[in-house]
Amino acid sequence: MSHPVLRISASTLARNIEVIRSRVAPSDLMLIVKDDAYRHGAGWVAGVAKRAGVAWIGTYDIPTALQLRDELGPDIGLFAWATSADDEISAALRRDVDLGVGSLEYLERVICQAGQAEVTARVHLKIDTGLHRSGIAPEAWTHAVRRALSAQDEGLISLVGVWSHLAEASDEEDDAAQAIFLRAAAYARECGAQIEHTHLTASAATWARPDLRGTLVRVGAFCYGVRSADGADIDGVEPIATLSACVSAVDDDVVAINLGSLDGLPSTLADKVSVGTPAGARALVGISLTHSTVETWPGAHVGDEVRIFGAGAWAERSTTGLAEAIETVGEEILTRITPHVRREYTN
Amino acid sequence: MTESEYSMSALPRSIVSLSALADNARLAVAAARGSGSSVLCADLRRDAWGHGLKAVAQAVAMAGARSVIVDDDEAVDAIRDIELGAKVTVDERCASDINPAILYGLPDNEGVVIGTPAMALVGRVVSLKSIQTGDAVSYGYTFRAAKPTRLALVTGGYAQGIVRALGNQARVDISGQSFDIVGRIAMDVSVIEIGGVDVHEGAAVRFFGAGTARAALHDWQRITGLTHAELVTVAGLRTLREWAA
Repeated sequence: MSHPVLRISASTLARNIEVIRSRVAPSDLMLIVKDDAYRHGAGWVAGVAKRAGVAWIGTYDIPTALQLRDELGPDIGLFAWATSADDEISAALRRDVDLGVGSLEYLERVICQAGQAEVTARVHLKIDTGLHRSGIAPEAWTHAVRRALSAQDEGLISLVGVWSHLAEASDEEDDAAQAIFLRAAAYARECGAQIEHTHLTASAATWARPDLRGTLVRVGAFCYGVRSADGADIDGVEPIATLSACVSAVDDDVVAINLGSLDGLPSTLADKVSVGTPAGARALVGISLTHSTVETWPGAHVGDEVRIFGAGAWAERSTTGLAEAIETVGEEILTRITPHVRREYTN
Repeated sequence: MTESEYSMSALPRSIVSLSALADNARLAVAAARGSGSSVLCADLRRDAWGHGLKAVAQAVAMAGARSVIVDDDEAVDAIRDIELGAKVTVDERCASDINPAILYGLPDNEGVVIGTPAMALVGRVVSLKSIQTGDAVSYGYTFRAAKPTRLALVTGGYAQGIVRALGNQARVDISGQSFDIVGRIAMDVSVIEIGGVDVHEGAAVRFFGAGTARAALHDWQRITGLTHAELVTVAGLRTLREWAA
């Protein structure tokens, strides 16, 4: 095995999806596959999700949504919310991709592209509930809704959704954000919009705060078995991926493995965490550019597998377990992994 | 990242300068010769540290490198057609004597870039926003405005190698002016504080390798504890690569 491998389980993903769907019902799951489904592979993940009955996929960027429309066909909702270039907007509208719109400038461009393409854009308008990233400021909301509805009257767009992102700074602040969100959705409905979809929560709030869920919940991390940093394990949900390296040399005290910092394993993890070996947990002693060293075990051989993260069968940590040792989140451990690490899909 | 027929506007770019690579390669080979080394071997593993294997192979071959180290047989194949005049070795234990910091234009231990940064990591201003005193920014509300100010949302987050720990710590460059990253860096976007400066949607935002962020990788190393090598490599492999002359 010349390359380290990210081994990903379809049955675990399907099971996680099922657990989350039953937990959030009657809200519907929108599975988030941004950044190539957190490196698990957007096409593969979306395929498993569709077979498991997932009705909505959120991609962030438009090119990924177009790829999934090709691969999955027409019978699934696709949502892309990155503020994008006109060529991307145009392609999205022709391929029935719902767009998340978080600024007046972007709304105008979507309306314009819909006119040129002679199609009706399905728009989810984003209210800024405090994060101050994308999202229309509450003071501009009435103007944005009216503009959207005037374009709707012309057949250019259909205002089908209201959504936002939560800060997850505290329950109180998320409550305040929800209040803004509910007022925004209520205003759009008062103006005559047929709002089919409201969505506010991502993984953590979706799981812990049923009162904040909309008609849709946007969940990525938890479907992949990535729990929140400093958060509890999620009942019934397991990591879907195991990062495996291979022993390339055996010395007296340590073995070398074929995975290093240039492959996305943060060098700051050295001496702070353990990894999984056939003999159980062993210290990750050092991380160099293309290799790392791990405390040895009796009978260690060149070619043996070492698990950097996974579901814990060899006492390896989860991605979040690694991340917590360097004060970050499991998602960063996953998304730093480079293409040198090959993916393998099981069952 | 693969070529696309679309703009890929959501992704930041790693812009690799071919002239910087050529100049750096000459400097690096001369430095190796000067220190009495005769192996003259360049480390081109992991797609030449995220800079693009073929382009870097060409640059070091032109500069007189005698051998290069690559990852595997696939990489050997990828540069088979280049007139290298250099021996190609598949890595097991690297023995390169051409200083990769000079070759790729990375900061040295004092934070000085000897040649020219070969890669610039560049995002784009997506939208602009005014906020009031006390308003917070991004997840966890780790930044609160001490006075009314303006923000720009920028493409590029920790999934593209803009390390999450850089939030509220690092600075970026727009047209020669330096701005703070404020709040937590998200998976695909960051927020910068632009105050009263006239910044436009679509403006190029340099995270490192150009303008006032020319040696920013050195700040990134100090802030994150990660090495220049892994910072530049992961960014290069996680963004859309573009070439500059």
